[in-house]
Amino acid sequence: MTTQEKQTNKRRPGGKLREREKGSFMAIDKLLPTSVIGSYSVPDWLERAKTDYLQRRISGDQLNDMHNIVIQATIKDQERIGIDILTDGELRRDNDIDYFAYRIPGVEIDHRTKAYYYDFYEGVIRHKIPTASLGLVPDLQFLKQNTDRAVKFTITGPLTLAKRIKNEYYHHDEEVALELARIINGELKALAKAGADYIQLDESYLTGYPEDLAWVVRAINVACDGVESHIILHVCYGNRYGKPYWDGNYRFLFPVIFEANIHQLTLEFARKGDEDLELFSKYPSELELGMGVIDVKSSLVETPQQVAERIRRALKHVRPEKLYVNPDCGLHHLPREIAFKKLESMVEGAGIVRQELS
Amino acid sequence: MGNGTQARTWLDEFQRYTHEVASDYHTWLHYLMSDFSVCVLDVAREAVTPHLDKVSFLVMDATDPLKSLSFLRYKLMFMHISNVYDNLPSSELIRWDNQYYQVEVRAYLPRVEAERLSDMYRLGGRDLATTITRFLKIGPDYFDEISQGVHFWADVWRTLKLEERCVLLPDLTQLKLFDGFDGLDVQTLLEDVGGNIRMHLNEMALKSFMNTVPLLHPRGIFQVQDIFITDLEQYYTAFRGPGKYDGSVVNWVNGPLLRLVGNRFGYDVHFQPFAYRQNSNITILTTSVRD
Repeated sequence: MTTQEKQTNKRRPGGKLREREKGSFMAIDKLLPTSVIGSYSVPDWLERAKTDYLQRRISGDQLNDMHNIVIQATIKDQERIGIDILTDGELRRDNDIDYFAYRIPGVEIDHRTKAYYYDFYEGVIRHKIPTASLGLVPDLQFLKQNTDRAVKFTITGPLTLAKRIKNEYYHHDEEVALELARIINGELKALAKAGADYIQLDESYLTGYPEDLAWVVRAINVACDGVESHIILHVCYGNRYGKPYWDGNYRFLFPVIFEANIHQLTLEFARKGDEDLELFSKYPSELELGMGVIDVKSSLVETPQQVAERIRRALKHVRPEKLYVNPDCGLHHLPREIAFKKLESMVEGAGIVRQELS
Repeated sequence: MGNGTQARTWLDEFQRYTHEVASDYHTWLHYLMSDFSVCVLDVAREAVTPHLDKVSFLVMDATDPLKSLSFLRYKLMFMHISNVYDNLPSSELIRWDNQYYQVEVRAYLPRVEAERLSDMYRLGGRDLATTITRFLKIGPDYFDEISQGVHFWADVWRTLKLEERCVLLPDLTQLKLFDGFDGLDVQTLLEDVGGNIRMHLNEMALKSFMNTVPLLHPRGIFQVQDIFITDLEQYYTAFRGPGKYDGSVVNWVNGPLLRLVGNRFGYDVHFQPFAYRQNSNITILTTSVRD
């Protein structure tokens, strides 16, 4: 591949991408496609069942049945609302760390450290991490079996995993992240091959470690190398227990983030305000923006008009064909009724602006 | 909030310290004082007179601070409340021979005492219960003479008694504390203690806590100074309320329950003894966002 071809691949102008996607992946042929970030509302009874499983009160098969049923309901909700790019609501996962850390050989898990399903395990790396499959493809297959719409698969990124898993073997977090990126890369290739239209790396810790951005970009590029899918990087201010974990802004991302081999950035704007949208005017690029228009840390339901206004403000800085519409982050902590109404407003708001653009 | 003395000490010390280290933090300071009573705020205002340019006063619902302070959601670095939770209404839960009961409490005046009060204050045909209800809304001004109003309430308070009844809970899920947390969650707490037990549910304190912690900055700290049970075993060693004390009904606060709720919703909760007075019943709860 020539340098020019590599550059083209890296920046992937939107038009070309859509042409290319039509061959392998489901193309979204409308402006302002809507999506969820990843997680969907977790019912109380499922939270209890997950904790019961952890405490060996129910079997894995029983919990898996519950997961399958609730994921089907989640898919149905998204379809009814009119979301364009669906996820499985991440409902099989305890949290955004353990589901992956548990599957990485070489990460030693202390099972005593978790009493409630959403707690983190304490994981430690004491040896070199071997090559391994994370076994996520069946999750994607289940999602695709239950919808005809475009699908997105999310996976926690190398920085966030490296910061959360205790390291007693490698010299630096960067080394851990690069090793994890190598594992993730194999998994992403398998997911792309299995038909993931969109793959999203979640880096919820990145805003807490802006000084690490340069090596994070290197790790992302290792993770995404040769992955034939539409790659998204999600950077938020944290959403653990439905609360922010970091303060700050997105200025640190620019322009270094252009070195990352990604198509889209999804960012949190609804709660924090959208001053940082100006960065997209200051640093013009072919990078798409997944605009957070729904505050997932508040149970107040936005109106479609509020959503439309947020999208209009984004359009002052981002071309319509480069703009996707999504919530700020996952909907895990919101009651289902609230999450449903918020997504309805999001889809309706996007529809209002789409109409104005046509 | 008290009489403002603590606030004055804090403000004096903060000003002195920032001056000593030559920082400009004091110029950035915005100190909020709040209480549900305007009278209490007025008294406290006097105490912090030299710092009035830095202090704002807010009347606040003790069970829902977020209602008045929503503009500060996720922004407060330090919050401190004292002597609030023990005054908030609470019911109790009993486990007796593996059956669960909720204790409901009501205040009442014995008939003889009620008739005596009606005569003493010449209420005539007026219903004493209605008079008390109106008095609680209006205060001592309900009477022509404020002093008469003060004496009336002192007499009522002295005569007031509490009675309780136990209501069987066939299923702990019927015990609703707030959205996302019910009796089944409480059951996990009770697994740590064997046998019969009677403990507080402190519903209003839990509500207040849940409506306060969203104000915390991700690195912020929330301190609560109150009379906490810190181990359920303490329910076996002494009476923990409800009781009439200093003009209000007081209940000890169930610390393990509050810690469980805090943990479940993403907060670390720690208790430490109040070290500033010997033999104090007060405990300091400290909470912050957990990873």
